[in-house]
Amino acid sequence: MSSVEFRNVWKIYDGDVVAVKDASFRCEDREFVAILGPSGCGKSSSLRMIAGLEQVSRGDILFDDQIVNDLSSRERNIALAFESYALYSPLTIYGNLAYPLRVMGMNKREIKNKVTAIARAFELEEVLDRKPSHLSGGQKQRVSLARALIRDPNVFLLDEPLSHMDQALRSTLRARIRHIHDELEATTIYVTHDQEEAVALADRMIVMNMGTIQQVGMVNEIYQYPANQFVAGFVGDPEMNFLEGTLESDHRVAIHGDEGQVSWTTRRVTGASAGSHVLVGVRPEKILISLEPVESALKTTVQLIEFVGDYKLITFRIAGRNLKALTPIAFNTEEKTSIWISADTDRIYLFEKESGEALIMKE
Amino acid sequence: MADVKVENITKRYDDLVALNKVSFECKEGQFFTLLGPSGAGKTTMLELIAGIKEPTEGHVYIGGQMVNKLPPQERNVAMAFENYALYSFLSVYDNIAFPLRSPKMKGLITSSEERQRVQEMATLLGIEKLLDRRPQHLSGGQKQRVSLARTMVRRPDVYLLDEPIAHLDAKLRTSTRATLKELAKEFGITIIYVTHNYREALALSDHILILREGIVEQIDTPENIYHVPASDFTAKLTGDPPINLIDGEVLGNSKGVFFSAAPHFSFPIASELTEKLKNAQWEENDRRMVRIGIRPQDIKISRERISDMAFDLPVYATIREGENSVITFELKDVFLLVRTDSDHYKVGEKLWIQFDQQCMFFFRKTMDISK
Repeated sequence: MSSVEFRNVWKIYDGDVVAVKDASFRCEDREFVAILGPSGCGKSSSLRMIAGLEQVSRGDILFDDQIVNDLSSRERNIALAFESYALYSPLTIYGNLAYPLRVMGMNKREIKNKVTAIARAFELEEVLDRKPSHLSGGQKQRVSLARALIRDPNVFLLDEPLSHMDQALRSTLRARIRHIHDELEATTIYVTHDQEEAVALADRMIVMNMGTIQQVGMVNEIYQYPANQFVAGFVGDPEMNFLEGTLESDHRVAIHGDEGQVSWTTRRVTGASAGSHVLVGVRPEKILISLEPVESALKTTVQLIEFVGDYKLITFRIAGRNLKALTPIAFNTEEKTSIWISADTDRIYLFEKESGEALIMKE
Repeated sequence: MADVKVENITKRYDDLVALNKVSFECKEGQFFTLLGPSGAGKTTMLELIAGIKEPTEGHVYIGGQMVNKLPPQERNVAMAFENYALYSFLSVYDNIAFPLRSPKMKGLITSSEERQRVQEMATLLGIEKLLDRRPQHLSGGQKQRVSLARTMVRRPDVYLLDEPIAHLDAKLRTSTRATLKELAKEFGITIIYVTHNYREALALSDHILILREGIVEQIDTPENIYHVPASDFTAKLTGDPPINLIDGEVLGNSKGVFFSAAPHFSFPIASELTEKLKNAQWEENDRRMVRIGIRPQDIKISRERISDMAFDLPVYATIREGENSVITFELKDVFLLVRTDSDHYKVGEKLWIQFDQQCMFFFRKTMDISK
């Protein structure tokens, strides 16, 4: 398989609609990379440019350090799997899997060997004689993925392949996709709007918003050191909480609560001075809740408790903002009772209020 | 507000039985949810309560009155549909205000009251800036919130909500879910809610009815649905990643009772659990079988053998979940999913696995579980 690189790639439609703006990244051979962002962020245009379905407006796309801008989709040897399975209903599963090989002009014997091998990898041996209409959703998805991979492609591109799967099926299909990637030592690029999906599968993520790359990094790195408020809010569910604050020093921040200010110790702040207005971020799973007054904690009232199975979600309001905390089921509290909110030093994030840029840099 | 009682409802279409002898009671002010996969009959049930469809057998009572013969407009229920059903020629404001302008409401609401109610509902649902637009210029998520606002703007006896937030993106869904719950509490309204999303059902409801192919599987509180599922079917519906269900043979010797799903996958069952196991087991080809249910967070894995209850398997794949990981192992028929806070395991590496037996369920087999 190949590495894939974007060098200052732009995609401009109709002369002035900028879908992708000066994007540069590199996906190494055998890596699993997710391109993540909300609708309209430029991820689908990026995918289409990699696949050769769309021309690059400016910049270069390279496979194994060779520019492929002018190569057709077929010449790039890409395997593309979509959200819809797009199986040929008159053909059997065998016929569906064999189709890309027949198009390539491969002989019958070779086709048979390849189909048998890929069917084994995707556990489809028992359904080879069936028509697509007789398969379950999970089986169809596997056929679609298997068919994309049967040609030994340079790059495996996946476009939201799981977004319409039901919950129970999704977690096993994720495991399968990851297993197949590891087994085949494929270079996989996965495009999705679903942060959970990207976090689940990828080694590295490219987070996009409004045509611009916001951050490129290892998944846990992005989770722990989001580059800006957009990334911090987009990656993680439920979303990170944000409060207003003022920097007191390079490791202290004053938070504006309903009953005056409290002061929290933070990691070392760079790029802003005392007196700067900041947004203070804490993830719902990292909020510390006390049922009794604690020094430097924000007092508030439990507004809502939602039991969601393996945890509880507590909603409360501070300074006009709805905030959420995740707690274990055993945590006992009731609606309308007072609670005191705080967070550990290394779980507090700071963002410059105007630009949203992170003020805590990776050590 | 009023209570709703459904008594022995059956709905047949030719040969197809959509609902089969369904009975339940939703008390006044309750949030009552019908949870089940698509095709279970949830929407049909709502349509029967609304009066859009007629039951083949059985009775529907609203506020103590049998309403089988009443047309929809005389039942004083408000229904939000999954497919929005907005009027494309009206603005968002007029769509939301529409129910307040029906002939029945004439003279009951002044135009300033109307404005206030529409504004209030739009603000609660975060669509106050869209009031002048037409539905065709809205995203799916925005349309869905307009549809919900239109339903909630009136004060009927009962609200019937069919997947009202299913098309919102994950974050908006979480916040709208909370809004809906606060609304329900604040006004003490009676809601019958349909969803296939177990988190919504658990978070919102006072009671949940699990519907399975037109038949009531279980009616209980959210806590009991999650912690004391009556069947493998209910257990599999609630949890993400879903609960592991594993079939195996029950073997007994002088040392006690063993569960064996494969040569490498067998372990002794704690003696205090054998009674529960016996109640669930079945006979198959002269073997005693049982289905174990265990949630991914109730399994421990490690590189060292923890105890003689542990067994070992190679890692199939690792997927991440926030700062946790879900390690997957492949068994003959199913995958075994384990949630852990470490992701330093390699594909193919053998790990020792141990179930927290106090968290194990024993089920009869009522559904196919093969991957």
